[in-house]
Amino acid sequence: THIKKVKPHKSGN
Amino acid sequence: MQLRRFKDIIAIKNDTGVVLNDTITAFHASNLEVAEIDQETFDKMTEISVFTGEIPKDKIDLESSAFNALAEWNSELNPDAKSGKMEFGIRSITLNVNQICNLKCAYCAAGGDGTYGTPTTQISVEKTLPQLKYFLSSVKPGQTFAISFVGGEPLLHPKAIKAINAYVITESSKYQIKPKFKIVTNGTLIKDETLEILRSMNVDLTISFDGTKEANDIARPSKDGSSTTEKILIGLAQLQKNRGQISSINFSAITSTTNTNVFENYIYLKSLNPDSIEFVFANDEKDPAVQQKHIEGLNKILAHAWTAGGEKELRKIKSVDHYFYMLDNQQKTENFCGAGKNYLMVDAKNKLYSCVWDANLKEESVGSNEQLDHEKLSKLSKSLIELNNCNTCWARFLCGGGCMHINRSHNGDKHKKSILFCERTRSLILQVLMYYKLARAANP
Repeated sequence: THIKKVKPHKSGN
Repeated sequence: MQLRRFKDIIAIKNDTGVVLNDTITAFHASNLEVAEIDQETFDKMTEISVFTGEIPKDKIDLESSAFNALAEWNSELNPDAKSGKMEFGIRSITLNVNQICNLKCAYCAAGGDGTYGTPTTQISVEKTLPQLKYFLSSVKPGQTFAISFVGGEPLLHPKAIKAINAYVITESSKYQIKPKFKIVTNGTLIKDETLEILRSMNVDLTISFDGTKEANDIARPSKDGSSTTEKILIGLAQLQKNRGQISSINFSAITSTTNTNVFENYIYLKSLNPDSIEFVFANDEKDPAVQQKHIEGLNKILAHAWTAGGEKELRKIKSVDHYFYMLDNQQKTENFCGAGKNYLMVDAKNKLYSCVWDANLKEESVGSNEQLDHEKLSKLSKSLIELNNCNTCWARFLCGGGCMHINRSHNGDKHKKSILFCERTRSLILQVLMYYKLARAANP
């Protein structure tokens, strides 16, 4: 519960 | 702003801003993962400054579940984090269409007047086409080959650009290569035949445009004394009426001694509705006070963009878009630029260099026409993270080791880091990490 990773959105310059 | 680190994880707590809430954002440097952590975990990390890339001493506390969670995350390997290793193969070139210019920008790094010390009118198309054929012949089918037309001022010779553009499109189709074109211009010559030629090409157009009329005309004066900004606005209005095949219109604004009101410049430039804006700090500027204004201005811009339009508006700032893309795709960057690996600069005499800023530095030339000096290039075969000693910096896989030209300009050694460069790069990345966490936590 200490660390909540965020999810990348897989689908720039 | 509190910044802390445990081994390869950093965490930042924003306790001053209104827009960014006071939750704590953490970043795993080698996994390119972003997370929210609680105060208990933050307390197990060691305070660091934005000026350092060193790893601090641990606060070991094996009895603490927060400490153990942190240690476990640190030792995890993220299978989705992709290597940024770069094998040799030229995939991108910058071409000096000429080395003359109608402006004399205060901070011009091309010899002060666009000439790099050697005024040269139009590049020889006759010599350039076989040179490009040589480079294209070693690109693999399906790969991209990018050409940036710069100068001098490239739009002084639009027909040369068109001839090279048409040739590369034809040749690329033979090899099933995807060509990509960009023009970097001062934007003062977009009229008449030049306008029509521009509209006929599928290019990304970047106009060097520093901000408000007052700021831009002081930083980027024309040689004939007329207003640079007024000329840009006339051309821009024509393009916005009908941009033809042009794929994007972007602004690049330089912060320099005479131009530090970054936020005011943003508001003005944004009102002209470009597809993106990039804010760049003048390469040779060494005054920390100017840099401080740049960093503060940029922070204010990001807060304004986020409030006005969330992620979409924020990503109109080009470097923010770049970092978001790299975090989303968990793609590590091990080279700030492709110097010596996949990038070459071709000057107006068809000499080759590994960096756009090396033009006219004889000792830095890595060949000419269709001849490459592989022995010289091999000195740059290692990653820039390694060559510039960035192995412990938490920002290394988003930054890619920094700019060798800036290093040399500030310290006389291309592999000796510029502290100012590191500070502004880390500062921006910290901001981006906080917004990235907000954006992705809101839409999991």
